[in-house]
Amino acid sequence: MRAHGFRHTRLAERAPRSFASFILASFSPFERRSTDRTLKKSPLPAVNAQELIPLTDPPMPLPIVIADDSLLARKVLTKALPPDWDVDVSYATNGREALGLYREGKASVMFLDLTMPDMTGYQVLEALQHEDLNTFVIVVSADVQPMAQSRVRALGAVAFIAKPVTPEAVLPILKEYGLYV
Amino acid sequence: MSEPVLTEDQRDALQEVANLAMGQAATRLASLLDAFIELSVPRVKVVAVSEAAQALREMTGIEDTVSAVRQGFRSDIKGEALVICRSDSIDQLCSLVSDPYSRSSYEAVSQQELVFDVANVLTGACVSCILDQLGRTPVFSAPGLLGEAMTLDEVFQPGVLQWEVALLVEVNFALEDQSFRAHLVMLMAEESIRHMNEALDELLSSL
Repeated sequence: MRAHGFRHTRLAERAPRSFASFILASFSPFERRSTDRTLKKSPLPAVNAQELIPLTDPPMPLPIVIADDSLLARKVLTKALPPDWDVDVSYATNGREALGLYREGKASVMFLDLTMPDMTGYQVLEALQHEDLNTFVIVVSADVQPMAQSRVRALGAVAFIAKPVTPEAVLPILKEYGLYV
Repeated sequence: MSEPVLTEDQRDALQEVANLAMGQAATRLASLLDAFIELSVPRVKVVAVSEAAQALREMTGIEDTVSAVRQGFRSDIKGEALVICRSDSIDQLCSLVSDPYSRSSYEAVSQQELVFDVANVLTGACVSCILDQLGRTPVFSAPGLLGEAMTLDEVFQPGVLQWEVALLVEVNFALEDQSFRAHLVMLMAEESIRHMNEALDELLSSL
């Protein structure tokens, strides 16, 4: 685990701005999570602030997973991410690989296709619910039926992006959850 | 004359292009049937028309008779789209659909209408979306019924369809509770397949 002070320095160097916005950037993902979901084991109470930050603040570069069986789709999505987003991208070609990467701690954010062989996106979401669901799942799918969207949200996905993915569709979601500022 | 084949990257790109098209078609079909459509990964395969019946049997497992609706499309990639579904699954489909189909006193006519509607949605959405992603805007001819209760061999018998190559797109539209599946086949001349390959390469190199 990185030293607490070192992280502050790094973050401050990366994006110099007001103290208020710095605090917001560091904390907003997890404030959002704790209100959005009923966490089984909340890390927030009974921990002093010194310990809280390394526990809850995602590491930089942010580990993200792009899960899609199609190379074309993985390329399109990669290209739609903000070019200066400090991320460590891992790729999965099916649901099982995506789940494996999550368990290795490589998925602070997961871009998840729904129609994949060897575990669909739905099955991955279901499996994540039985784990600690310590990730932001953004479903990326060509299946734009309204019911598909409500289903994945009920299964814990924070957002739904219709294919073909554009930077304009990705950016507001990353900003909303404080994943990119 | 060499068989037009897709490289692995082209096949992957075409499959993803078909996947997007399926999503569009499913949304429209879902609102037509007022049901949730479960999608699976589309599979694409290019075969000679003479082998299409056998290839489609292997992909779909269809042994019994089918209904087939044909619809032509034109751009520099041109051909004909066939929507094929099992004859017996149409009854199931009809039982799902409320007005106007089930209450009609002219049941045979309304069944045919339903098949036409489903085929129209699939062809319109799938073929348009596929060609749109490849930078083409197709013009469609009116759909026509190729036949009801035909075997797959009869669908692809020589002389009925003028095309040399079949692009099999396994579009697996399954209704949530009952099994209804429809399959889309795009038939093209070899020249059109070559245009399609070029378009797929362009798409890939643009990334």
